[in-house]
Amino acid sequence: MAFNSREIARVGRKVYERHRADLERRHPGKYVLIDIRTEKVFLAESPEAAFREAAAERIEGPFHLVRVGARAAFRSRRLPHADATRLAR
Amino acid sequence: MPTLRGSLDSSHCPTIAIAVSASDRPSEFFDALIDTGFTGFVQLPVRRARELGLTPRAASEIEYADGRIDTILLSWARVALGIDAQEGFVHLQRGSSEVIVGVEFLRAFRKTFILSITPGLLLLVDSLADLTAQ
Repeated sequence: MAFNSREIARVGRKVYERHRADLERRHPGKYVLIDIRTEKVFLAESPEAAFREAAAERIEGPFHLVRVGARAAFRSRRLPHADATRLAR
Repeated sequence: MPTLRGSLDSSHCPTIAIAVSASDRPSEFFDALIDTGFTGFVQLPVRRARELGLTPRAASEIEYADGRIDTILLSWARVALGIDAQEGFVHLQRGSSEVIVGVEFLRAFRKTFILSITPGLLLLVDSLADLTAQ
């Protein structure tokens, strides 16, 4: 699979939606790394811990990373440099 | 790890030297801005990441100060601070020339960040007890 970030995010969000209710009830604030090929989900306290879990199973991605219950996995107090941003819902 | 000294750039912003590498390649040193408003580990300009041989492994999203959300690419990299090193997700930033370390960087290296603008003092210590011992 070529690395198309928007397509990976689209597929990843679709997989996340299937698990959303359970994840947001039981694991708010944790990180979910979704393998786009297998749709397998790795849940951990940090993005790095989730990646190590996937690597231990020799799963190489590409992945989509989500923070459970958050609008985005990361925050920055800066303004974006790039034009390719979208307004938050 | 001993106390690490950083510096203030011409805009009085705190910077610290780090080395970044892909797992099987030589590392390169950068003066990285310490940004406590950034929740990630490390951010690199896309061009510098390519030069290091870092390849995208994941896509994710970041929310900026104005509420906009952008899709971002993440690479897996080794980052050295002094004699210590950690692996983590590096954000590949378009349209920026800055190297930035965020809150996750301070957590991963278990560092306390001490900054005093007036004497131009920037320290990363393991604990405040280390500071009083000095």
